[in-house]
Amino acid sequence: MQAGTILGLIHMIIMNHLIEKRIVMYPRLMLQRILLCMFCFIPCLYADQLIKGTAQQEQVTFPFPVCQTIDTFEKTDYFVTADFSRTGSGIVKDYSIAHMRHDGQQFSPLAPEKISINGVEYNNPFYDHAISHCTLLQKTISAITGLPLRPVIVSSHDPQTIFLLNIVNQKPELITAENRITYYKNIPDATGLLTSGIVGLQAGSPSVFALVKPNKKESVFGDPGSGIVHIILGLIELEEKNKNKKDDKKPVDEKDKNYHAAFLILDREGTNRGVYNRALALDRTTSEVKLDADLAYMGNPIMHWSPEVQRLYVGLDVKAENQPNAGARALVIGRTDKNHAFTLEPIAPDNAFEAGANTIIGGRAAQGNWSINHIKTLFTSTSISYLIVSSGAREMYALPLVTGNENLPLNGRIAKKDAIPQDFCFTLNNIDLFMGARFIKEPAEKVEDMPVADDPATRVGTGPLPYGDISSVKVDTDTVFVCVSKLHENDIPGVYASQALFDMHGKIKGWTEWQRVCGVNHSVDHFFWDAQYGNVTSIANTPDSSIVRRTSWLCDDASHSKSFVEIIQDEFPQSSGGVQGLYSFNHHTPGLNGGSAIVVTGLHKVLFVYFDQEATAKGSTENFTHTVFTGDIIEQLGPITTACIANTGQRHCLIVGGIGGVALLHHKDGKGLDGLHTQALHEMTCKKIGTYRHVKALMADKQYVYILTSKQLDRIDMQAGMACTTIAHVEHIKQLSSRASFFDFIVSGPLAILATSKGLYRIGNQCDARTIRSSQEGQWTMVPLPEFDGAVTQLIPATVTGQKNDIARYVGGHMYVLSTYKEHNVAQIHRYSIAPVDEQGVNDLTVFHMPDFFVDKQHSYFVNAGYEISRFATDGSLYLLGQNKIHTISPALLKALPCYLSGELDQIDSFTKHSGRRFLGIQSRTILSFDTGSFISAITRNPVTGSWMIAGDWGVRVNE
Amino acid sequence: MNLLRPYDTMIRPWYTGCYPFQFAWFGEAGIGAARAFDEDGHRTNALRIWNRDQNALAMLAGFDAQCEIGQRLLEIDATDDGVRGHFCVNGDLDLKAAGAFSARWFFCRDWSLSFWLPFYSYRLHNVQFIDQTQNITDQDFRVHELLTDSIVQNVCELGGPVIGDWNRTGPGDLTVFVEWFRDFPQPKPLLRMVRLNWRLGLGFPTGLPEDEDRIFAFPFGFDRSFSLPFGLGLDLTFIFHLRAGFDVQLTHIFGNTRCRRIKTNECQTELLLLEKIRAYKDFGLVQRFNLYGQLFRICGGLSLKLGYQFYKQGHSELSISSNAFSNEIANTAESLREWTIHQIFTIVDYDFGVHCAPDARIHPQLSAYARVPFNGTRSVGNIALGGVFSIEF
Repeated sequence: MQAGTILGLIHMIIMNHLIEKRIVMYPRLMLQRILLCMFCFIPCLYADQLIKGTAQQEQVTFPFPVCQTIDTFEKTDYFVTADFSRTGSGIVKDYSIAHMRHDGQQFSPLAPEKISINGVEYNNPFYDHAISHCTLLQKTISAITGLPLRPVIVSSHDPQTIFLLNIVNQKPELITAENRITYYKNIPDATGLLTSGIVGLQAGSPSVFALVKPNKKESVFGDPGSGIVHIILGLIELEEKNKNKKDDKKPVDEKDKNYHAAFLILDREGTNRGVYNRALALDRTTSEVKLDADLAYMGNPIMHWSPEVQRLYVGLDVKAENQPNAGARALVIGRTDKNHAFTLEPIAPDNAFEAGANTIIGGRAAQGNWSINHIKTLFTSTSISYLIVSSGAREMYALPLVTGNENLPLNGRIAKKDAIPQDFCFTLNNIDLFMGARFIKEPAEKVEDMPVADDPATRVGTGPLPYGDISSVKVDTDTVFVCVSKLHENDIPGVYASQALFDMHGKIKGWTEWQRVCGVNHSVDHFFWDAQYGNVTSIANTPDSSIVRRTSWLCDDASHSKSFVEIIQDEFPQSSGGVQGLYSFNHHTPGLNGGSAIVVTGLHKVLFVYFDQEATAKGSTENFTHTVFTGDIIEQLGPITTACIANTGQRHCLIVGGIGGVALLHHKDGKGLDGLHTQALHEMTCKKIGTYRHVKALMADKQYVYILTSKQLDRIDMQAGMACTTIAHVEHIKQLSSRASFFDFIVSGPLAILATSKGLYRIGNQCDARTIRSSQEGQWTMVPLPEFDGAVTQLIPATVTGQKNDIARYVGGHMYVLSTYKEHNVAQIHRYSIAPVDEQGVNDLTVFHMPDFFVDKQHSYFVNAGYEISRFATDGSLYLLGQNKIHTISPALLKALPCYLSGELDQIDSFTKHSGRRFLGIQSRTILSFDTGSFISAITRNPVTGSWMIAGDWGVRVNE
Repeated sequence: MNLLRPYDTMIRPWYTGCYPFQFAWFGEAGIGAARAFDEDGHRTNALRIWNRDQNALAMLAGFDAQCEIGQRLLEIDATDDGVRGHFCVNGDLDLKAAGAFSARWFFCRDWSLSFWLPFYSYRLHNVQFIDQTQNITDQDFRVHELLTDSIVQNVCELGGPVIGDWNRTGPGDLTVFVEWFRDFPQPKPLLRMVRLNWRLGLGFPTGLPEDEDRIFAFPFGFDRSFSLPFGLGLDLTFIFHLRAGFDVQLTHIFGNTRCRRIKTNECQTELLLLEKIRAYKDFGLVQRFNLYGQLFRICGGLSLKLGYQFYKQGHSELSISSNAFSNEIANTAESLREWTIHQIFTIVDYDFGVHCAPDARIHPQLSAYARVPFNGTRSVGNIALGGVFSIEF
């Protein structure tokens, strides 16, 4: 492992050097691949690798539980603090707080025994002592050297002092929050007296907010005197300071001013000239929280700073008084102005709350109780801000936020749920009307405007998390990740995610069901999501230790999927073309009896892997049954590239297709198979269907099976004697010629969408893919593919159930369209919103290009890969691009990176500084490189573990 | 290509300086198939001097997606794994015959005006395109079915060259030289005579141009371009019938515009290019260096000569007369890059003048030679046996 660490460091150093030297893109890409290939095969790296800490024991990171975790906006640096409540002294030592890079192998301690505090060497108050609160201030300030990542911490035995942990040349030092009177015990309450304790801490560059209790020792948060203290890291004028001290009224010339970097406590009015600073009051009597009457109870505050909205959100556990119309708001907004004055704003006006309305964040009911357990903000890929809150142990909700309103206090409030977003454009570098941002300006003013718990757009995961109580939440781009620890007997631990589904305006219209992700199926108390490489670092606490593990793309003895992957490698060797098709069928698939399946196809062979209901529920891939199908009929198909599971009425069957045609795998008695989960798999045999050639894709929707060849799309009614109808043919679609070809398709009820070599087509208005009798009857209509003239090669749906054929059901879904221009080695990804198709049938708004703009009102692409890619997959957070071999460059898995207009992440806090999170291309990161391969055949998720799987002629790799 | 160049000082007849006119007739034939050298100087087949194999998939790249070629590429939907769509090509290039006629007029003692007109007859046969595509993936099957199994037909249908044998016979470029030379007798014990010469010429584009519709149908000359050769040489005559000399000739070829096959994608290979478009070609400078030693009139009029020749043409460049395709990509063609060839000459020469009276009205000479290419880069050459008969009068 040490060797691996050293080599990993060498790799990093080399890569950093290359990047610093600005080696041109193309050679750098090659070099990255070469280096990745070299280091990918270092045998001492592990799948699901254990991160090293201080523990001496095997498979343990720390000999103490982890209490708090923080990561950076970019998700590149992780900080953890020790939980002392279950650990005695002398164990934690300098690991009270520790740091690790996202790709590091080991945590580094940040609490040495001796430390400089405000420039003087002292015993470190955090050495072997608990940290009660911790947050991370990301701020570059020229006057202070050191890393721009500065944890702000409070000691549990000194809850009246806030320290800034500054790391200079890898050596930590402490700076206290300064009140100009004394360095220590200086945090005021709302009356200006010394607080009796800090109960929460949240950084929001350049500010830090601290929730404080009143001065009285026996008081609790929520009592009068409670509040929020505003601290700022910045430059102050030293002369100005001295002037105050000397009470000198003479004006000071600008040149005489001496600026001094400080971590300064501000008064709520924003001025630092008063001797006694005060916290901003937040207690049971605060009008922004109460409705009509003071609260009966307020407690358990949590905070979240939204860099996009520039607002502080404080979540509370509140209880209304026992009065008829009394109510409470469990969320309140904090905002600062130019003068650093800090004020509170209500999350929604009083009129927005009514008795009986489930408005999630508050309401009116005598002795009604509302609580917020987790708060995050989601800035979607469509540039709209949402507040993600959990109001129960398992419920997560997404609430639209007001942004861009000229009346500044309204920004950050709950937006009117039916409001249409408005685009904000500006001129940049003589490009007129450059897309700047997207705003919902209308706030919710009455209860009808408020998102409620029953709205599909509001319910993250379509409902409560069925696997257990949520212990931690992360959001990234369009996806909400939660983790479940094994708190209760019936909890199914792991990391789960739900992806937002967008309507034609870019607003969230629904969510995908909770789905296990990242291959994590053990208890998780905290986790970090590595947006750079798609890995998850999970932290599982035991009573006296913690285990930190990170998923990885390498498969070895530690991998859960080792046996599964080995079977695939054995059955589909590279000499036979490797894996040419990899299909996941989740528990919604009919015929699997609540279980899941993976179908792997290749030359003259089909592998069916079945995970039963229990394994699927537990997320375990260790137990499965598998069957390999071979034989004369399968051989006739040649290389098999596609598969689907179809319903023949009472029975279900597996259908596979390849160059040589389509075959139905059925029971030897000819009756099909009564559920693919049964042991009768071994008794299956094959029957060829039709005389197809060059089968590109198969899909089943209810009783119909659709077969796509390079020239036609056929519908087979499995319950009507397998009657076959050609519903699309290249020669019968306008603007297509006999030379055109089909690549992919989606059918969902009446809606059918075709990817062709000459663009994207959908079935005509009022036409029904289930009933049309010919291609002409389908009235296939071209769907505009803005700013592109190439071929559409892949359709990637995002649906509620994860089933491709549900894209036009429930609330609909959205679809990513991969279009490639092989000739010019480019590829783009467009997004279309798919509306649910009801009785009125398909219409002009059913398939609608999502508002990805570059220039105002000009629809454009979502991702420009910058080069030809063959496969695309996403979970709403990670955008994976599969690149086949190009010239001498090996096939690779890449991650598309967002390209901000400003180029600086800390500038995205301004609405006018980003282009709406469009992927402008060029930027991508190589995650994996396959130097012996030539193509990538699939990027999909394991239906059981949610791990990303990537397959090609070189085999299969799993991230777990 | 080591074409017969009659004005090559290595094989052109010696001039005695006693007569105003000299006519010469050249004839040669190749022995066996041509020797070819790839970019690394390794011996290879004539059809592999530019690329080790031919890439049929890349052939389809670089065209508009909506045109027939672009749609075919999309229909095939395959990636290049190093063998998919690749062909190993073979073919025998024979020099059937080559000849030339020259006439020189000597005037003002040291000057001459000469005309040189060659002709050639070449044959390419046994052309084989051996498909390397495997049969293990769907991409392989599509490539076979839609492209490589009928490569000859497909290439023709898509506007490419005819893949197959050919016979071509035609003239080369007519070249006119003005030459100055003078013998300087040397009163030294070893060195008897020094002959200096320099020449300036003009090549006329009379040669058969490159046939863009056949594979490897190279031009018999400078591809319809004028050329401007300039050379100088030194011949030293020693005692004991020894003679030695060197000669340098540089030829500037004027660029011209004509229909040429161009690369539309940098991965394309030279024999499978579908796009034919008008393009200006700026030819690289031609350099020729000769070095020889001769046993001069060792037995009557018999002379034996052994020579070495290095021939090089520099990098040429294309400028496409259209914005539809990229100059940058077109100029990645291997055939545009410099090529070299090294040859050994052995010449047996008999001067019948030694048997004639000093005031004889004619002075005949006969020589036989062999040209043997033995090294080079991106070049092909035949071992040629030839003869020259000249007469001065």
